[in-house]
Amino acid sequence: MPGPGDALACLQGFVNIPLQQFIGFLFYMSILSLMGLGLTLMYQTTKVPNFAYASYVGVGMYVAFLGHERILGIMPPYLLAPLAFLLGGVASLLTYLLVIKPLASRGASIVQLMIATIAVELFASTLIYILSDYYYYVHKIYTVKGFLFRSNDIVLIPGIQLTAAPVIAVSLLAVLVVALYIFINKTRIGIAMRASIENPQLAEILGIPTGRIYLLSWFLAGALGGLAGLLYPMWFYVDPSVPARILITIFAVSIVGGLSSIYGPFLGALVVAFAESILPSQIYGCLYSVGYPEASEILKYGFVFPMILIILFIAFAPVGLAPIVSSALTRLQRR
Amino acid sequence: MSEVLSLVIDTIPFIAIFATIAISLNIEYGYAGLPNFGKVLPVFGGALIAGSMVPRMIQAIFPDAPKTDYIFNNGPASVELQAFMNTHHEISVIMMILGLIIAIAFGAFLGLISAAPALKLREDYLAITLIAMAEIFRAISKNYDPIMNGARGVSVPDPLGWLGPKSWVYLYVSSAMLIASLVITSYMLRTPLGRALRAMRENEVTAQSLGINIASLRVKSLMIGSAIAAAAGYIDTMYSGGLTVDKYDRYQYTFIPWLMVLMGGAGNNLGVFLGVSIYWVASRAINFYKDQILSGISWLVNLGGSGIDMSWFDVTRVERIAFAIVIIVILLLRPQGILPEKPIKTPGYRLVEKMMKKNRETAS
Repeated sequence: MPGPGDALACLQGFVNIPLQQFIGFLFYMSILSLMGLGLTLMYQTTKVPNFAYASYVGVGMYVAFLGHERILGIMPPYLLAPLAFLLGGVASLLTYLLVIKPLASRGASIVQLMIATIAVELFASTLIYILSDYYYYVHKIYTVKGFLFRSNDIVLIPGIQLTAAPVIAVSLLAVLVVALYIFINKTRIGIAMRASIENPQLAEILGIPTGRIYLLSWFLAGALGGLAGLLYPMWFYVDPSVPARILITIFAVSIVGGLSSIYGPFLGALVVAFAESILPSQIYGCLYSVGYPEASEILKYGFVFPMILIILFIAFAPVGLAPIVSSALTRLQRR
Repeated sequence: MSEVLSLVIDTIPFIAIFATIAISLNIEYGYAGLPNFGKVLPVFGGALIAGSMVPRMIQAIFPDAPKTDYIFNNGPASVELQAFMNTHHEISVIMMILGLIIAIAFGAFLGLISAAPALKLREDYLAITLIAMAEIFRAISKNYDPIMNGARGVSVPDPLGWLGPKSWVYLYVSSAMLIASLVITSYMLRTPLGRALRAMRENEVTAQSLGINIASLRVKSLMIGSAIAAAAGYIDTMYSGGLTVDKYDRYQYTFIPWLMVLMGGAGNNLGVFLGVSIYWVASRAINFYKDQILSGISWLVNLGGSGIDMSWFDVTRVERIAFAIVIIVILLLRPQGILPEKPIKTPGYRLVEKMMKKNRETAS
């Protein structure tokens, strides 16, 4: 029978998070924020969930790979950040200009637009496979089918094995939050973007070029994905199937945070990264401490947690966390 | 002659299974307008009943059935079970039919639970929910070994293996399934339910104002569609004799049925049939003319005279690229598909037609 001592042991097992794992969590949360922000931005401008979003992340991942193989050698690929940003943005712009915009102007339904983005995902992921075939068979670079650049990273503090990637990702996140706040609230373009999201017709009447604003939004959204993709292999393993696999995790970030709020993805990334990279091992730690070593099974299911979060949030709180948190904050302020 | 015959025998089960899946998607998307991007979920559910449940049910129910562990000692177990089925004909047929009924019920159940979270929300939330449900189900099957030996999968004994050559048997079985699902759906869509589905697709608010319950209609169409898709998955696994998670992926069992429905014409079962046939011919043609396609590609690449060797290129990847482009082109140029939807000739429709004809006659 479990007693009070067991509860204490479980709690100790639960709160005991190794530092390395916590650093990994911070890294994962930061890049998930970038991707979730991109996806949410696209959803807000065109009201279409873009199932091709992970392809732009894939572009970033393979910019990192090619940079490693062709340009930089053993140097970490941070110098290529502008290139990943640009190419991710261009891939996203092409999706918008060649697929979304022509379809929308022909009056395609939301379901037709969604299936079109799935087709784009298929197209882009097949291109990534072909690229990887090329490097595998012609240039005999076998790591193209699976690579991880963690050991190439700059070690900042050797004692705790702190590498540059988490530091860069977290600072990028911080800069992004501040920049986004200033952009959305203080600049003319940002205000125009908000207006064209709120009410495109009204914004056009006021002389806002909503078409160009949408282009900008899609470029920025894809560029953020490219940037996140560049950072991804600095901590996690990448192979050509990874972009398709992380797509659902990115959707989890946007849904949990709330598709209607531009700050939602930050909350969503916090929850999703916690659920995927911390929660399973801590549940295992708890169960292990009270004598269930076979609970290690749960470690295999980390990537299922974000999908379960999607289902739970759609079922019980489809607006997402951001509106809930902000209304709770205003209630606190009134007191 | 025998080559042609064997090609026909190979073709019909494939077309029948995929046409059944596409018809089930046609109920959901073509008639009800629901974005079922988790079509692979009920197909895989039916496949699981065939590959994981029926053999173990036989082991559990009949005392003289071989008791070798079916999942973790699958090789010998499936051979022994096949031998048992070959000698116990009544048992195999009854268990095959019982399994099919369970698969249909399980499919309907999967349709119910996968639709439940997003019933009252916009279609995009429903689409995301369905994708997530399918991925959860596949992830658990892949990682929890007692279901189907994880990613390795199982080989599945065929309860009808003693009836004759496999392709002939399943030619009849799958055609019967296709005809049954065609009859059921075309009957169903002529009833008020079918018209309510179209009303919901065209305008939810108007449909609601006429007293149509949108949430229950969504559940109904997803349950019916998933039940039919599960039957197709069941027959598919019995026919192929093997079950792996990777076979039932998003591409082959979600995207391809969508391609078939959109290409042939959503809301028109004949069109969907056409879509399935076009897909089959195209995919076989790509496979058949592999070498020619490869030399064509290397000619294109070497137009500048650079002399690049393209022998590394995997031509099967051309299929995915081509179908992705085809779907976008169809959506752009002919969103109604090759054979567009036709109005249902209800008695009221005939009356209106007659009156309009009369009006025209009197006017002239």
